[in-house]
Amino acid sequence: MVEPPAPSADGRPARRRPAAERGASVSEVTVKSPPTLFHAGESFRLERLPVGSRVVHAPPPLKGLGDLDAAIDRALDEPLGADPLDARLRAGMRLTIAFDDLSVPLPPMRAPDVRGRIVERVLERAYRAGVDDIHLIAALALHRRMTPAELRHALGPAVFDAFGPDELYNHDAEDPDGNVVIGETDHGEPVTLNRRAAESDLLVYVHLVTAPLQGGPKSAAIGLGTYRSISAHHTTHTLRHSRSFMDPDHSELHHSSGRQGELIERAVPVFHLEATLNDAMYAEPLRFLGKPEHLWTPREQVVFAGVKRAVDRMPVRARRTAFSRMSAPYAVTSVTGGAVDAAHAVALERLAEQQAVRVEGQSDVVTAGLPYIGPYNVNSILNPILVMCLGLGYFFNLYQGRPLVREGGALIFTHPVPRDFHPVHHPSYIDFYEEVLAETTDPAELERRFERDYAEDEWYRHLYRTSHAYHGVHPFYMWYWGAHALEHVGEVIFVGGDREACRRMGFRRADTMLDALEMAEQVVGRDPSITHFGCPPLFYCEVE
Amino acid sequence: MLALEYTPSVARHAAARVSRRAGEGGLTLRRMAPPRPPNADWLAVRPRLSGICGSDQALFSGSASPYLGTLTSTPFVPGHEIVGEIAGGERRGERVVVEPALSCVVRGAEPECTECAEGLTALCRNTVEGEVSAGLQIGYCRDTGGGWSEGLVAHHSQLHAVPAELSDEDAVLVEPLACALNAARAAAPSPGEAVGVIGAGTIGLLCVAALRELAPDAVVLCTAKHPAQAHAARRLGADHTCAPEQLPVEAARLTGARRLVGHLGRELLLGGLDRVLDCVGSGDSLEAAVTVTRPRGTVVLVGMPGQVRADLSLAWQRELELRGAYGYRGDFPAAIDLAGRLGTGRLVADGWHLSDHSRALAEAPRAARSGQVRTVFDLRTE
Amino acid sequence: MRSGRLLERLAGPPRDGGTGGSARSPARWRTRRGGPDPWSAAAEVADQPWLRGRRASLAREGLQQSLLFPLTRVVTSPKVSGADDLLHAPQPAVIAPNHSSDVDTPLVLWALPRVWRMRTVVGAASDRFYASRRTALMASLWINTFPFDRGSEGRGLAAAAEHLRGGSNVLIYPQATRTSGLGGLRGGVGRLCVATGTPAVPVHVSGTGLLMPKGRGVTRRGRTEVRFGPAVEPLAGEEPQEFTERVGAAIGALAGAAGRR
Repeated sequence: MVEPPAPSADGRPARRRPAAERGASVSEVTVKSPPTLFHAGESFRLERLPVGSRVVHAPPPLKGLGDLDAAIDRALDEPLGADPLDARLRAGMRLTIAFDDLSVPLPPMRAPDVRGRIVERVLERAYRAGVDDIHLIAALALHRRMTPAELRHALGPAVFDAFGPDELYNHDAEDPDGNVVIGETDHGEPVTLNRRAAESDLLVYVHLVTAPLQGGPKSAAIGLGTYRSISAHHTTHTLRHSRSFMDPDHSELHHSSGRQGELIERAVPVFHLEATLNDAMYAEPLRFLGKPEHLWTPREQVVFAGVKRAVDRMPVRARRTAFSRMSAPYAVTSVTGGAVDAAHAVALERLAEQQAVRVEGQSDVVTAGLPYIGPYNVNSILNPILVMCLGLGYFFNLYQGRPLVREGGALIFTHPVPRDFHPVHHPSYIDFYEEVLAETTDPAELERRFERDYAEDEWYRHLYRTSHAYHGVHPFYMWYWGAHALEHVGEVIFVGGDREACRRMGFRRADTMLDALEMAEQVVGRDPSITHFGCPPLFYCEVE
Repeated sequence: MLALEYTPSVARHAAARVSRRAGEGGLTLRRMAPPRPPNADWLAVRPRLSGICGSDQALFSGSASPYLGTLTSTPFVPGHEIVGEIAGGERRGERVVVEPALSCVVRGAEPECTECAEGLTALCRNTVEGEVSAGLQIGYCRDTGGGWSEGLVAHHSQLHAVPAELSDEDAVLVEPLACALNAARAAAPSPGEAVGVIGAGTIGLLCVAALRELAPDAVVLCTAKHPAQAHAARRLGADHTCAPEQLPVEAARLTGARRLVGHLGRELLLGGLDRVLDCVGSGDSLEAAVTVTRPRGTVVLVGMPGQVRADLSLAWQRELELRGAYGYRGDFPAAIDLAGRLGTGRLVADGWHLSDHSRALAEAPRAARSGQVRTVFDLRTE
Repeated sequence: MRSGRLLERLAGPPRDGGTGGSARSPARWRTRRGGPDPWSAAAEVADQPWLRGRRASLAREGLQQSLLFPLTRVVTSPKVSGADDLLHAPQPAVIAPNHSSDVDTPLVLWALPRVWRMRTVVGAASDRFYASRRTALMASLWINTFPFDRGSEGRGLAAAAEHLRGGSNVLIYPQATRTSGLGGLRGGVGRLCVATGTPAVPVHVSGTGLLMPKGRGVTRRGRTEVRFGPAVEPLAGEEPQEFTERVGAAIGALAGAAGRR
């Protein structure tokens, strides 16, 4: 059961969350309802869902902070449960600033990125205190290294120019000399950390919390960790018992990585900064895509039709370029600093205000349109394994309480699932698709039989360290990400999906939504209850 | 030996003035014989890096003052921010920075003039006498050669050894840093006073660093046109940065002065900053400096003003002290030490080859917008 | 929204076949939802900073001088006092008039000296003036507004503080809404001035409440008067509430002076 928002820990009254209130963002399909928008990769579909289906919409974007710089200063000067940043800076110290990589936010934030704004304010304080030894590290765990252009976007040209490649760089989880062992938790999970961070007098960690999954104590353990420490909890077992990993209190993943994080807090002084964004994912003239369809004005309908027809006629490559150019006009809704738990609690509260939507009861069938972008294909291609991860890992897990789809129910996604891989970014995915998935799609089995070979492959390691490739083990983690969903649901159907790719991954496909619904009926019974999960913009359901 | 030689021409000067374009009028790349040391006290120096100073750019854009033209001997090889190595003799191979002033001692002029006797070598009166031709400093003198070449000669008293831990990039800014130390000393802020630095080019940024060094308790406000410059200024010790048009607002906020906006939108402060260093040297910057300085405050002219239009009535009404800061006074050892601590090399952009001089000169004003404000010629062979 | 068929007809079928079904499209869309519509409250338009740029300012000056101000003067036949002394008041400042009518804003703007007007932004209630794109653009263009969020989170004051920091004067009404009489001062102006250390210029506008009362258009022409007082500066250690009261007293004193005439 999900409780109504209780007063927060420090006694401040909880804010109202209008969008989360019962039924506010849920509408029912009637004969007079507009068609429902489905994202489908780099395109859109309009589908008529059966009368009586529920549609869960994303809540409207909250207003941003009136004065961001003042809010950042407040986070630095009046942190929660910690001393002000100025008091912790002194001349001659070693300061390391870690920041989240390009997997957040999605799509990338329109310049100036809030990370850069925050880092700039932190640097200002550091300069004033006479700190000279400063390193900036992109905490990217096993993700691909960010390109100079991406770093420049994340931190702003001024910071990027001021810190050369020697002082501003990507974390390297496979550098034998660049990481140190911190210890082992009481559950036996090894903890490793980037050496520079471990040997710093202060680690400032700049988080961007765009989903309940992110931020908090787990970040340093994962973002600046190595395969050794990450593999302790990125397992089929842990992820099957994270229900969901979007609900930190009920997530085995968070418990385990949180234990690691505690150990790091004890070894290195950390100052956490957490920023939350609103849901303004679409810039004008496409802002209406974030609104429920019945609110689209005639002008917006014409724009939509034009855009849809245009992208449908574009070649794949041009479509991808056009979509990856999009950046979001997010507004920052909060910046909080201080001790990890206190700051994270406030960030989650502000996130819930934007993203939490209360939904009554589960459904037999849940439909959703998968967009062109996931956390692991910024400026890249959403390959079949990432499609699986986006649908079954992220979309399925965007719940607190119980999953939106009942146990044994059916999930229907719209996505073309193209058999297309980015050769630079996702080299190990290609082999995973060809070798591993050809043998088995069972997460536990492929974990047992194949994970170690991929994780320790010299060639993948070389590409991860020197090129811009995801770590060799990354496709496995993507598959584990969906392990809970694979166990929970009875059927997964991709409308418009590639025949071969869907078959390889063990899913079914259909040409039309009507076909898909009929196929689902064979699994869940006649006249199923249907809920459409209207993400993106990103939100999560509190299912009662 | 390759060198860029400057030959002045009245026609070109006029054309450059009219077109108001940064050009390279009168500059030619050619092979020439290396300059000959006038006597045994002089050593041949092979430059490694050589900076492009704002006053050099003024030479080609036609905004240089004809007065200063008198104190040069043409044709000459420009370049006076030099780090090089000694090319012959016992000290061969030693890395040095060149203190470019051609003072009495260097020229062998007897007796020493009043300024030189005081150590103000840059203000020497005998810059037209002695064993080398007229010229304020190396880089404006026909006989010594200059930094924009593969060889020059310098008096042994002009050479300061560069410690091994200082990189060439750090060392090439020692000369402007010495000037900045001199300017900061001219401003002489007392503890707690508010100091404004107008302009965040090389000299502005180095003035910020010098102020931080000499007056750690002063409050420094620096104006910067571009974000990267503002960031660099903060890194070097500015307490506050703002856009140039925000200067009166920020200065009023910092000092608690009243800001009035009068007829025709003229802004002035009642009260204001205690010291202001104008590191731009334009009419606008001078006027801004005068309007934000408190009565009987000091305005230091650090950037070369040349011919400007500025309303200076407030300087008159407030009895401001307007003083120049051009050279240095025994500042090189301190500057070498400070350059090492600051890591001034961060401010130096990638070097250009002499043959790319036109692109280097065109690029120099643009580079100033990034955090790497100083454009240099790279003459290293390895 | 009016035509549900339009969207499907224009957008065409999905790329690889699918439900066309336009025959079943209703002529008008309706929805049934379980709770209050969260979108109705969230329809506010964002700030339009481009309308504060140099060109837009010139256009505004032209529009004001040619249309807005002549019209205002015809309706209000105003008399101004104290404007000349504003030359000696420090900027940036908060301009704080009493508020009884919509015509107050153009009237005060007209009465301000040009060097003040060109540097003044007007805090406009975001729930009223920024409810639709058209009113937001109109307000920004004609009277140089920024959205002032009157919510409890102080977002409006934060935005105003940012304008003050940038050197602009900010016109906000301490009464927060149109009120008859001089009472009902809210604490916002006090908090803003004390926090940013900016002075407030008290302004008294009289007579406008009769010409254009709240909720109605211009009812008749009449005489009005705008009086500017000397700037009230926050003292060291002053509480926002005390400062607000002093500003209120200053406006009251101006009203008294007007009454004596």
